[in-house]
Amino acid sequence: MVTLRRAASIFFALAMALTASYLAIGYFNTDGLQWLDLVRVVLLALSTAWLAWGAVLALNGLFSLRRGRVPRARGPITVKTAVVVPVYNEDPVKTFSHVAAMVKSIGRTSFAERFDFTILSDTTDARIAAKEEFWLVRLKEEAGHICNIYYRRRPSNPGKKAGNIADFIKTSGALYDYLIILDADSLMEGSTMIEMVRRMEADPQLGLLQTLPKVIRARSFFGRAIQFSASYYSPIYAQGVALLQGREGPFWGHNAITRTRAFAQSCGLPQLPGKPPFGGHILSHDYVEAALLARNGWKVRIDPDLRGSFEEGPDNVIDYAKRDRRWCQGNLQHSRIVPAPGIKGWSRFVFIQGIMAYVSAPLWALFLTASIAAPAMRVVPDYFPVPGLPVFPKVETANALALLTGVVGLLLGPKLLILVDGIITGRNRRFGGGIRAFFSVVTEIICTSILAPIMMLFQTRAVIEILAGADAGWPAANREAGRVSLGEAWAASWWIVVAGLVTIGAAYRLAPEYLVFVLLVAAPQVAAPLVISGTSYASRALLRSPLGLFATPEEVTPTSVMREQQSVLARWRADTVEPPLPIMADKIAESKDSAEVGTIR
Amino acid sequence: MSSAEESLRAHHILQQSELPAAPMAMPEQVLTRRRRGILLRPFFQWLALR
Repeated sequence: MVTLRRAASIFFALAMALTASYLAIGYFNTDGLQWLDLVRVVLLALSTAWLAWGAVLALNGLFSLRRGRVPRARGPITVKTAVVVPVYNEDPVKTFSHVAAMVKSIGRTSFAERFDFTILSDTTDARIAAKEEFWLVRLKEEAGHICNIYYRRRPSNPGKKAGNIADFIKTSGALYDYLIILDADSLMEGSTMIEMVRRMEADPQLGLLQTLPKVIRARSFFGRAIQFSASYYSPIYAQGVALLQGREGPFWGHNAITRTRAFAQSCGLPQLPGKPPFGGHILSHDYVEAALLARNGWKVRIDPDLRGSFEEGPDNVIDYAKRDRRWCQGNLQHSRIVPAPGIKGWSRFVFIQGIMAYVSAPLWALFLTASIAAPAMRVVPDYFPVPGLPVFPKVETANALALLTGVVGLLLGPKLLILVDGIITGRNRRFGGGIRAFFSVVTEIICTSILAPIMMLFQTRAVIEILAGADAGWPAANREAGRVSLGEAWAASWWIVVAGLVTIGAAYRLAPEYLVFVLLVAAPQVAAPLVISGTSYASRALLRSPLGLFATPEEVTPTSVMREQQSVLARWRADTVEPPLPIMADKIAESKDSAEVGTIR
Repeated sequence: MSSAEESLRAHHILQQSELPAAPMAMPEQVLTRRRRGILLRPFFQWLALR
């Protein structure tokens, strides 16, 4: 059944690509087909296939019969689970408040003694490392009586996050049946952890179970648009992924549980031969680990119905683009792993999807460039192929309109269908009701349409840099970043403004008939600094407005672990004064030596 | 509590937080195929001798 669904989904994407190619050839042929037109057709076909693949995931999710909550299992838990929190130069007070809230959440169940929490620090900044130790003491005072809480700091960070977890398994893995792998900004309800353990216990072949984490705590307009998008659309897309996953589901690196034995047996990652960006440590290790588990016969599964799993996201375009740069390098590096021996066919396809997620941006950029250049290469039509009998070229406006409608339909159709589904199923009530959900979806679509041409250039630049051999390294995530000033936005995006102006100028000179369409793409690029800065401003007031823009269930009614974390953080920040650094001097001096061994790029 | 006592207590908590030792093997996986060139190496060696 899964094979059939996969085949039908791939067929749909290919059929859409072929239809787009057919319509494009008809339209481009109006003034005779040039070699550049054929290039445009190939670029359009690849880009349409990618768009259609996104749409088909949503369609699978929408028409899935497995939607809704799976009945929860009951009974005692006798196994031991480590909740693993890898950290890397993140703000300790915030991360540790997350751990405190999760420990307290698990403490409200009857199985607290079956869970140990381990903070695995790869922090290279000596000051942050000293703060980690300070806040660990506070954490243990707050919640150390509920569960075991361990802390370990590596003097250097070989293998980065994957190496950090592997080091833990090699040191202490034999104690634990399962590992719940989190990120520094992850948050999870204790009841969800217990449910994950039970699902692992129920299926001895299950090597890894991934949850769909909801984005929380966004403050800016941009962050809240992403948060809404993740809360409103992602469960449907994830359901589509689940329907096609078979035994080779995804692993996204965090908010997942794995069978320690399976992970240890399958996921020891080697360094790839050669230098970064394509060689060296595997950056996007999660996809590879999922493929390796499947290669060893373990099932990897995503259960989108699991609630109570959260993460935080970037609050502005610049941080989003930085994260994207790292992911882009990781995904392109997978091109080295696609032909790895024994990897399942679907896992190879998943690697290719990950690569396409970034390569599609330069494909669109090339298509746009070729479309502006094409009219300049146009040959003057021969109106008199037969003397005395004029033949006028057939204008294929209908083809062009059908093509445009199709591409826009693939882009917006899934979102609008999810909105309609929300009306039919009553899901919109959780997002403030039908009218609020409608305005949120429309605003999100407008916001995405403005941001897409900017992101296209960020991603295109990332792909070019990586192909040219530039390594992004492994910067720490910055979830607490505030507003981006206009100056900062300009510094990060002036080249996008230039690219937008050049595009408009070229279209004006070479293809004035396309100028209106080109402006839809290039105008947001010219306004990039304004867009980046403007969308970074706090926008929680919009939630309280009558439109309740971008309201999500978690924002309107935070869950208990979310409330607990906020309360712990507020209390810690209010009543605990971090000791001045000189008191920690001995620790800093100690850490400095080891930090220098670490890799800071 | 004096600063020295507090420091001692913090040191004690940190010591108690060390990971328990229970090693588990994690063998390195093979992700690259053997180069086909290696299969041709004897041929090239033979050719080099001619």
